[in-house]
Amino acid sequence: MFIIIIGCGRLGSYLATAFSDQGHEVVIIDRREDTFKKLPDHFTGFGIAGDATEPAVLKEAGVARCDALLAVTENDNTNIFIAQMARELFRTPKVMARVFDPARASVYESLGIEAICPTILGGSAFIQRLAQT
Amino acid sequence: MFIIIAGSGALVYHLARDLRQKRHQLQLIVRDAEACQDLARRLEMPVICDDPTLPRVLQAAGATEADLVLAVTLNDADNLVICQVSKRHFGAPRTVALVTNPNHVDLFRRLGIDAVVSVATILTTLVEQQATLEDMISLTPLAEGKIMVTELAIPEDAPAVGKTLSELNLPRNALIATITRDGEPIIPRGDIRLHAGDRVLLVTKAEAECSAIGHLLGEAAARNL
Repeated sequence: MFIIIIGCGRLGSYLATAFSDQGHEVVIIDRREDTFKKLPDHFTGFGIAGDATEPAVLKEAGVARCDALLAVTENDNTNIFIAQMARELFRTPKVMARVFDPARASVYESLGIEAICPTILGGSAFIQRLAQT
Repeated sequence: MFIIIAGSGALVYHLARDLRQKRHQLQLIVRDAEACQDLARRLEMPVICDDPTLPRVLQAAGATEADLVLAVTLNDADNLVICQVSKRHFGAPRTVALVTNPNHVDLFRRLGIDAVVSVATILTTLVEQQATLEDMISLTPLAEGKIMVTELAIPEDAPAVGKTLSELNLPRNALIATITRDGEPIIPRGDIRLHAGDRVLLVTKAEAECSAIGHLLGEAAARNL
């Protein structure tokens, strides 16, 4: 698969590394070039320094032929916006956004955006582990 | 109308003051605490100090009752989310978003925002117009720039002078809405002849604007657009 990842923070760099290790083609975009330092030496993909809310930057990353786009910047609204831009302008087959706020995630899930909410995922992990003790 | 305005500082202040004067009922949402207090004091009205992109904040502001939601923060993504949550989750009938990046205008429309305002686009259009054609005194893009309204004076050497409107053969997507002659408005009909010095209000689809101006002022003027 060809996967584009937006945001090279902890989650973005983790995902980029994992998909690259699995043999997928990866392009990762972040506004700040120094964030690419988080990527290991064996990362085989590309980093692009740029603002992914600008359609031209997504085009440069190859969005027209990518199989999936994961928007995982630190900002919920940026992720929601980029996810919809990929879906609406570039017909990206699989689009997902990280959304920290559970209420916002649920609103966008109901609007057909795949919103992954770390708050809910983390919360349920804690609850489950505690129930096991 | 009941209008929710979400944004920052000076723009919210002036919008709120003008709209209140027109007797609209308003609810303001401003994220920055200091700006929020300042607005509440100057406008003498309650201002919600919170993140307007959060569903609970929009709900508390009355999004289910609002006739119109104006999203005028300086962040395009925030404005999109404010409008989408208001419209699609809370059923606000009409939403308007400000965009900083003019490349977002079309996308916002496609994502269901009723009206998208790009300050950069408006200013660029005005500047280009002012710089190239002095006879053209005002120009307003409508429907996100798909419709152009242009007022122009007919100079003596214009090819349109002495022709009737039907002889002009304007392109299909162009229409002369009014003619002003010696300060008097004329409602146009096909048999009205244009005189030098007439002021013409031209309404066109954007793609027909250049050609329509060519018919009125000559190809050279249209090329300068």
